[in-house]
Amino acid sequence: MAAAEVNRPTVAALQVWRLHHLPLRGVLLSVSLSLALGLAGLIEGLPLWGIALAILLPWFPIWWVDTTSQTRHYGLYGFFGALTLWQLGHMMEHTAELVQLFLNHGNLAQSHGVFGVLDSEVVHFYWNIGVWVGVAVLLYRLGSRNPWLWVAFIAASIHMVEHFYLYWLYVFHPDFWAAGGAAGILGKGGILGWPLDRPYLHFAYNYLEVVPLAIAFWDQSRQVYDRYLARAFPMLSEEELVAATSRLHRMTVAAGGDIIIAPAGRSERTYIVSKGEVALVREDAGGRQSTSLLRPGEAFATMAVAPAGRRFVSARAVQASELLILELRNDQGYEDSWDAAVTSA
Amino acid sequence: MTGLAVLTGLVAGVVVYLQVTVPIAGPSLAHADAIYYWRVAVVAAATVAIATAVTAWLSLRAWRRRK
Repeated sequence: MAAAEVNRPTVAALQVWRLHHLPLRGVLLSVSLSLALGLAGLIEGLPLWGIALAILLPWFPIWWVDTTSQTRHYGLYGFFGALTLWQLGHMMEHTAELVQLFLNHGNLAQSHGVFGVLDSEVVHFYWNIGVWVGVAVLLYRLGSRNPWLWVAFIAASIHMVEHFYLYWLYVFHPDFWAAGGAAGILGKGGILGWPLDRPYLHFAYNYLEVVPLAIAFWDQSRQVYDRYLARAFPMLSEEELVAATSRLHRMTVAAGGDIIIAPAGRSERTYIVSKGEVALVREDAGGRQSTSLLRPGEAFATMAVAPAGRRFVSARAVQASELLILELRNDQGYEDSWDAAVTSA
Repeated sequence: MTGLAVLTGLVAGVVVYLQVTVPIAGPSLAHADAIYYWRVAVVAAATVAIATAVTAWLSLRAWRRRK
C-alpha cells in the first residue's frame, strides 16, 4: 500500500510526460545552442534581458513543435499547456522583480524584472486580458471536470479589475497615474489602500492566478485522450480512451516507407493513422489481395488469431505519415519490446 | 494539499517580509486624492463582474448540456 502511494506521483508524471512530443535530436540541439548563446552573451557583456533571450530563443521551435502536436492530438489541451507555460514565465518575471527590489533596497526604477522593456501598463493590461479570456475559454470547454480552473478564473477576474482601472488612468489621466495613481485599487496608497505596495500585491495576484492554473493543467493532463484514438474507436468510453492514450506509442514513417507489421501470433497491436495516408494490403483465405487507403482516424489491427481467414500482407505510407501504436493486453501482460520497425523505401 | 498550503504560507511570509523590510520608494498620493477616480474603479469592477458572470453562466450551461 505504502509502495503504491509512493509510486503514484511518479506514474502520474510519466502519464503527463507521454502527452509531449519532444524530438530528442531537437532537444539536444536546443540545449547546445542555448548554452552556447548564453555563454556568448555573457562574454559579450549583453544586458540581462539579452542573455535571457539568447538562452530562451533556441527553445521556441521545440515548444512550437510540441504545442502544435499536442493541439493536433489533444485539442484545447495544447493551448492550455501554452497558456500555463507563458503564465509561469510571467510569474518568473514578477519573482525577478522582487529579487531586484530586495537587492536595490526598494528602488522601483531599477527593478523591472528581466525583460524590463515589457514592464509597462499597456503590456500588463493586454497580457492580463489575454490570460483572462484564455482561462474563460478553458473554463467553458473544460471547467465541468476541472474545479481548479474556476479558482484560476476568479483570481484572474479580480486581477483584471485592477488592470482595467490602471490602464484607464494610464491612458486618460497620465499625470494622476504618474503621481501615485499607479498604486491602483488595492495597492498601498490606492483607492482601498491595502498594506502591500504594488509590486508585492501584483506578485500575490499572479501567485493566486498561476498556481491554480498549473494545478488545473496537471489535472487536465490526466483526463485527456487522443482525438485520433477517439475517431478510430468511437464506441470506447472517455475513461477507456484516457487509459488507452497513456499506452500509445508514436511512429513516424517517411513517404513510401514500409511499416513492418509484427507477424500474427507474436503480438496483438492496433495501428491508428494520425497523419498522412497508409495503403494497407490484405489477403483473404483464397490468396486474393485487396488494397485500402487509411486516413487519419482510421485503424487496423494485427491479431494473434486473424478473423475470417484474412490477414494483412503489408502497409506502406503513401505520404509522410504518423501512426499511433496500441499494444493490446494479452495473457502475459503488456509487451515490452517494440518490434515494429520502419524502413525507408 | 499540504504541499500547496506550505508553499502558499512560504510565499505569503516572503511577501510580508519584503513589505516590512523593503518598502517601495516612489510617488504616492494622499488618500483623499487617491480616491478621486473611484468611479472608474466601479466601472472596471462592474464590467469584469458582468463578463465573469456571463462566462460562469455559459460554462455551467455547457456543463449541464454535456451531462
